[in-house]
Amino acid sequence: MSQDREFLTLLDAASQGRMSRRDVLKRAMAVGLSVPAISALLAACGSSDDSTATTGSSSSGGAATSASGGASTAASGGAATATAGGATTGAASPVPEKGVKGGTINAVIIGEPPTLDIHWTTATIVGFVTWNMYEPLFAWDANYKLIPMLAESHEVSTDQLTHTIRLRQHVPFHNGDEMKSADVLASLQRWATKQGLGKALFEASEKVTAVDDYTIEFKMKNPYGVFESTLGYYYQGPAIYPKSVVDAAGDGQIKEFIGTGPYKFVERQPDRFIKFERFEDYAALPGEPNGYGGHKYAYADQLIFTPVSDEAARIAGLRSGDYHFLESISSDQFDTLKDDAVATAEVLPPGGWDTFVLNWKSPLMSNQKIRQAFQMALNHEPIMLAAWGEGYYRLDPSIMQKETIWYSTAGKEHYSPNDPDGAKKLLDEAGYDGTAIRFMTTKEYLNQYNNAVVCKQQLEAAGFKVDLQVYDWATVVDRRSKPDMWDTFTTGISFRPEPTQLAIMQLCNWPGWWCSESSQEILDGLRSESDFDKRFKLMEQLQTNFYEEVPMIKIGDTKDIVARSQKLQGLSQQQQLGPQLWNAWLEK
Amino acid sequence: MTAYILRRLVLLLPVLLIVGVVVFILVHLTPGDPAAVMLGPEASNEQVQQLRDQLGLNDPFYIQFVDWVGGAIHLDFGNSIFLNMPVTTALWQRAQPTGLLTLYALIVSLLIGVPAGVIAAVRRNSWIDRALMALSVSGAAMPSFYLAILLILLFAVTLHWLPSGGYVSITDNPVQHFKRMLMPAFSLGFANAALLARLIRSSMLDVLREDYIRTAYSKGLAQRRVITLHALRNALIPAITVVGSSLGALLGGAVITETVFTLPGMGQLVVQSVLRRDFPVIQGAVMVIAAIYVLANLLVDVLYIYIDPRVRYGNK
Repeated sequence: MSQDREFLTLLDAASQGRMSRRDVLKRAMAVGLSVPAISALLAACGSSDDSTATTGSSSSGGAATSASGGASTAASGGAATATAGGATTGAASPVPEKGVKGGTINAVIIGEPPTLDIHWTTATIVGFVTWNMYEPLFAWDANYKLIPMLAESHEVSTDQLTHTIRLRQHVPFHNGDEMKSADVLASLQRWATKQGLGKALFEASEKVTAVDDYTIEFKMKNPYGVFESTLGYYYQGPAIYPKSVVDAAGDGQIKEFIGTGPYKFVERQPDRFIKFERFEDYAALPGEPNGYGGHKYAYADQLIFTPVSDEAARIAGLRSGDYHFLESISSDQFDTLKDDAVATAEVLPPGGWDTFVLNWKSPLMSNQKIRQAFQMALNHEPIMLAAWGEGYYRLDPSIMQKETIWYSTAGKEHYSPNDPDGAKKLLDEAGYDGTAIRFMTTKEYLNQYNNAVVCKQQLEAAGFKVDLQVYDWATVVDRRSKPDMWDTFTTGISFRPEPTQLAIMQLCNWPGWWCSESSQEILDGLRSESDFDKRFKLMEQLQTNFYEEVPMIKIGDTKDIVARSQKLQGLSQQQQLGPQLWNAWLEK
Repeated sequence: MTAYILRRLVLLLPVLLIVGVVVFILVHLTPGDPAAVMLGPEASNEQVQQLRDQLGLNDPFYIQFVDWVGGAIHLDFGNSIFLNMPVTTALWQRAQPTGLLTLYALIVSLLIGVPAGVIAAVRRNSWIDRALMALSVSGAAMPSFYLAILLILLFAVTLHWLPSGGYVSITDNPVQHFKRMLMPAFSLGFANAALLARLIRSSMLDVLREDYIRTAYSKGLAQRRVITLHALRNALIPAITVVGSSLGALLGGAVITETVFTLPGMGQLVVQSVLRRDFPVIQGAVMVIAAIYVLANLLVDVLYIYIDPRVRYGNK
């Protein structure tokens, strides 16, 4: 009986985070609890790790985490810490390996990455390749919440102004040096000179210091709700490099590619291959893999990325057994590959959405009524069908995808209204004089071109005149930065687990120039607020604005199709930010 | 002879200058911003401008041109924006795959084209002649990328005899090198072989009607000897011009072949650099290709002298 009572007391303490894993374990052993009972208690400890003293106290006014992605656990000002170890696992040691060690995974990329310096570019291909060798302080877990990666814990002071990040100890870089706070500080400072979110973070801080070898402290001017998610930014993310590498780079790109990740860089021959090999001294987190964080197995001895620009050549290479993974293929190829003897193809959950961006600085589109007429004229189903084909898209109004905790249908009445008569009426009210919309698109991404062709027909049916201008992608990217050259263009918005990180949230600083005071105000709130419920409400307001102010049209979510060799196993379906090759293996 | 060659080499300079000016202007008039391509689709305008400043892309047009010409005179074409290495290094790395591919394709076209042309001419109007010429017409008509895809489907995907693409240097692993170059060389060389066969056939037919051939036969020489020693040597003269100029066609065709077979050659570099708007690489590569073209023509003219002693240059 007393054991049962002790068990319940401990369970309560563990689940509320009032005791550390070590204390729970000690007490449980002292009272002679059984092994299954102890396991249950440890699981209830969740993310608490014995190397961190908990700040646990359920009284109000204690320190709180600012885990913006996973803020549901960090509400109410109660004390909590986010700690390393895999939030959903709670296991202290790695589970037995399921995969097969050895071999070389040959992955195909659609072009040569512009650089292997991830601080440098937003190009997704760079993230795909380089996150095998670099690591961030915080990573996105299987549910797109943030968990510590190189950080061990993150604490926020009661006044929300001091963020203390404790680093994991004994984490080696590929050059053998241990990762310390000087490396982290140098990397973050450099990253902030290249990346807008990083720049904003440093501008919002009063002082950033390395308190000791394993502690970094940010003193903020004001509460900063997106602190962790900024440090977990993925595509142009704050990878931690050794300070020596940062110093040697000066203003330019880094000259040596060194990180703390499960694979280390071996060789790059531009347009031929990029080769990595397993880093044998990798300091893996205990527990199981958890999204982009948690334990990383690094089953394959080597990873080789080969740029192949021609899709037919990519498919042929996969079917002949030369390649093991193709990052993305067109839906036309799906049926051929799904029945192939060597290869297979999978349709993944949506990884982004298609859009028509409207130019707020053009004489035509600066008129809100004309933008609303544009929105009202469209029926999204045929547009997506032409672009992607049946089964490869999802019609959904939420600008944050269903797979995230930010899903909302706010403003859905303006999504795909299919009301050409209403659009005509709005055009009359706006005094539309029949000037043709300069509509830029590209055949380099055929889906964008197909989107545009169907959209043009629908707009014309509602009384618009449309001048469809087809360019190569580089030209579209160049022209879209010049406000006087276009009215609308096609593009895709890539997946982000945090709303403030969507490309469109650069508002007035991104082509289209969504310069709305009201939206800016909501966005500022979203950035400073830490409480998830409050942030969610702000996010819904922003989405309502999105549909009323019409900076762009969200057409629909797009599903990625990846193709792989049947030998390649263990690849997670969670690939919105990129595939996690470090946990995949080759069957013999 | 030496004076002639030197004069031709000196004439190379104005040709390259004109090519350089035209390419520089074209490249800079084409819309597209290398900085924007490099920073990715979601970069802010501020980031793009920062990189443009760093790369010198915001300098006035004439300053960029003078800088480039100044470097090009010393064979320094600047740094690749995208590859972060000197253009000359990038070109040199790509020279081996393209050079060898062109060479192998040339060998394939000679090995197939010359015997086919000779046999067709000697067996004129026979079924062999008709079959060879039918093959030749279809060979010339078939785009090399189509042949390439058919070859890949058969030999890589179905039979698994050859790899579908990629490049291995001849010094690293000669066996793998030839396995990987076989299909590209064949698909690139085949169309050229077809053209060559038709040309050799018609020029052989002309030569075979000449008096000295009749004389050779009447001397009692064997047919094999007459054809290889007497007829073919003369029939080759027009073919050499075609071989010389087909070098340009092969280099052009290499662009597509390299893309389909994933060979990291100059052709692919040029195409990728255009898409990335990597101005220095486009300029450097076009200059080098122009120089190769001019030098190949010079080589053809010099070869004439050895094959046809009646040809003399520069003797006044």
